[in-house]
Amino acid sequence: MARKLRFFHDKRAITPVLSNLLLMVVAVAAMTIATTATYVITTNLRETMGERLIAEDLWFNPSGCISIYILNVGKTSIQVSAVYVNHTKYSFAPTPFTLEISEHGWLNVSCGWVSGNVYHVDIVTKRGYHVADYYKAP
Amino acid sequence: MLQTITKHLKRFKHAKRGLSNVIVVMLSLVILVVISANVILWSYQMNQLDWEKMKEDISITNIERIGRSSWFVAQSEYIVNDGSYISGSYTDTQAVDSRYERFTEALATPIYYPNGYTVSYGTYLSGTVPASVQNVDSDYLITRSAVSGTAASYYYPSGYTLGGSTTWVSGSASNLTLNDGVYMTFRSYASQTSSSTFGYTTAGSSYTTVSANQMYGSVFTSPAYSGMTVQSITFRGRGSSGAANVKGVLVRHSDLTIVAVGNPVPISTTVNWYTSTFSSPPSLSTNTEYVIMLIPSASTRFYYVSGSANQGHYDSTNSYTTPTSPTDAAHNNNQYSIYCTFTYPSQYTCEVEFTGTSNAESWTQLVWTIDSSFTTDSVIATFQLYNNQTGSYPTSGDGYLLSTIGTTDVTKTQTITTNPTYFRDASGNWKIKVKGVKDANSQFDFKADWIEFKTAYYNGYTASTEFTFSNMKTNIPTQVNFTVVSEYNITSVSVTIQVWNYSSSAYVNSGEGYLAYMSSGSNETKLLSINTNPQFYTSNGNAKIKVTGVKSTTSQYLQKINQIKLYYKIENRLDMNGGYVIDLSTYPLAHIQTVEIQLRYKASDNGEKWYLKAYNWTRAAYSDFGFNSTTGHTPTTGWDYYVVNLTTSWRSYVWNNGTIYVQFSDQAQDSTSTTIDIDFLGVRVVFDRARFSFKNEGPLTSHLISLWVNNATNHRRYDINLFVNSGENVAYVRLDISLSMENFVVKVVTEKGNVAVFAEH
Repeated sequence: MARKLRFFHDKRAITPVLSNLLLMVVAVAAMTIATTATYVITTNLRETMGERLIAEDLWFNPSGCISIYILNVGKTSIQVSAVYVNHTKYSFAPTPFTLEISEHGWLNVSCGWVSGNVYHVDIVTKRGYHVADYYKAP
Repeated sequence: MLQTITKHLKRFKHAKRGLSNVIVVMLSLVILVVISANVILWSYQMNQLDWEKMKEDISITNIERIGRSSWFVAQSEYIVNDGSYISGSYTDTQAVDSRYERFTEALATPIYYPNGYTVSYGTYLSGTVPASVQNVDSDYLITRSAVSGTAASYYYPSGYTLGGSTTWVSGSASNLTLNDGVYMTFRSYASQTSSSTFGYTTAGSSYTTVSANQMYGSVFTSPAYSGMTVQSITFRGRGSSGAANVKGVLVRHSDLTIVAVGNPVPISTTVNWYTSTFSSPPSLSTNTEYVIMLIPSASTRFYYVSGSANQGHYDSTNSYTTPTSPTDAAHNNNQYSIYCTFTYPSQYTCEVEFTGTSNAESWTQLVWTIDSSFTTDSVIATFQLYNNQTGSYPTSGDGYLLSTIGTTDVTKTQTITTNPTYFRDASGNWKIKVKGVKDANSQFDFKADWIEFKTAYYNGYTASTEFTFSNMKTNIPTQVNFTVVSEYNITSVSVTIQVWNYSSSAYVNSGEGYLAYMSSGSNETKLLSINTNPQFYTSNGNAKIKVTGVKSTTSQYLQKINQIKLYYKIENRLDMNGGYVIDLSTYPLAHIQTVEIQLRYKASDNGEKWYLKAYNWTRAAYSDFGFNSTTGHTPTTGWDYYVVNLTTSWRSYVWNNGTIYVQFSDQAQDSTSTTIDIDFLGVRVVFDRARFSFKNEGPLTSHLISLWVNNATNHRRYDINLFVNSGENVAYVRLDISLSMENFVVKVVTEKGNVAVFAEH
């Protein structure tokens, strides 16, 4: 008991211990942050690099809109964030338009069209991947 | 060198700050390596993907509409229903080449046996159809005959026996056969008597002393009864001074002659009623005056009261021993206490038992009738028919009739249906007893006009069995022959065989299709050949024949049918069919538009048309209903193609597993036996679908995942799953894709994201 009490009154011993513990906490926290940052950064990079999509078909729909059939041929899911027709952003449906790997579906752009005109259609994903091409309305 | 390293390690060991730095650097390097490796490797993979995509070179080389499948041919030998197989094999009909299979028309006489029967009359006993009627053997279809008629026999009395004291009056048994008013008459007898008295039965207070040999009495009038006989004379008196004997004497008043003298009766001196009986009772006339008298052997007191004038008679000079008629009797006014006791008939009975003969058949009923009357009214008549079972005349129920009959003829009849044979003996003899009774004092006669004993019994039995044929050929026959082998377990049954005429909807009663004969012997074979309009005797593959046996007999018999056979003669016919199976895995039913049947054949003559038909699963028969051509094909005697299209009705001819049966047959019977060579007979399906040709000119295998067919009005995507190897051309048929006749664009998309386009303008 006396030895315990003496331990608490020995100021030379406690300081190194506390300092070591503090250093360990700081080191672990720093490594955790570094590891997490590394994971996030690499994942985003991978997803960004893994995006591939094609427009299987673009149909100047007689109903007045432009329907685009999109196939996700990449290695990650995609979400279309914007569609530009002749560099003008148009709304589309359905929203959100998300395709998992190898999924496909119609994307209806609320954009009128005139027969014979040429339209530049640019489909942009949330991560910045885009597919663009010119299409002439029949 | 080693020393230098050791020194650095020792320094490093003692430099704690340096170790931390190294660890930090190492960890940082690890992180950087992970980041770099991850990104670089991923980038490499994506680049590889892009590279492969760029290398991929898929193209659509051709698109064409396809409308017909390849031919499905026979996979087993044809079934020849009519006609004959000559040579070749079904494999010779699988392709248009120099090989063929040969058939010829032939005489066809299929034999049919009944597959159903109905017992029209009688009772089924044993046997089955068709098993029992296929072969002439010991297996019969047996029907027990049933009653089909009854007969009545009439019998009349042939004799009679009188009962009691009944007497015959007139007539004979021959008068009893008709209800014609000609009678056989019998007279009744007195079957019961009563007694009464006439005279004065009251004791008088006065008396006359009658001496011996004196005859005293009074006049009294006899009653109106008929048949009266005096039994005794009773008087009131006594001996005057002693005992005496007294005789009663009955004297007719009209001539005062003695009618009868009674036996002596001893009397005493006591006043009393004394009776003198008659040994031979005399008859008493009705309503006649008699003098009832007595004559004593000694003095006797004879009591009286005052009577009418001259009522009293007395003869003083008579003889006790030998009484004589008191013709000289004198008169007084005394009414003596004397009377006669007489008897008279009070009931008359007429009783006759008539006898007759009959038969020993198994009677179904017995009717006995008596028409009769009496010469007086209200006679209680009892008619009884002798019951041999009980050995007595019934007193109620069957065999017993009771009636009150007067002078008018009354017909009494009774029908016995329960055990009518009880009323005859083993030889058929019968007895009827008639008894007429009336409580009366006068006699009457029984007048029998008509007595009939009628028996009814079964005298006709019939066994009739109808046999039905079905599922026979529907070709028009040239002749229909029925063979019937049958027998009966008794002789001389009148047998009728009749074939059903579908034109008149009746069994034939004469001519062809009708046969009547008298049975004799066993397994008699009878043939009914129908040559005139034999088609009238079949309908839709059905026919009927009825065998009926009738006999006038009182006992049942058995109809035993051993064989019923029908020859269905068809001349120079060819009818064959074969089965084909459409590959539904390639040509699903949902995408078939129709079915075509093609025949390449050669006929040896062109005298008739030939027909292709298919089995209609809905109608369960071969048919060409709905075919584009139902008029048949006339051959040229060379090699001919005969093609029929099942149009929109094809589904009725194709079973769910793709099976279709095709029939090839001639038009009708004719005089020429045609030889048919079949080079090809096949079935194919018709559809309107697309065939795509893909070519992979890239170094990698392409996986095609979608196909687009676009036109001005529609963009249609079809999922596909087709791998095309490098350098390979692939034909891809889609039965669910119908290419329009207008411009269209077809695109095929690979898994890597390349698109190949084919445009039809």
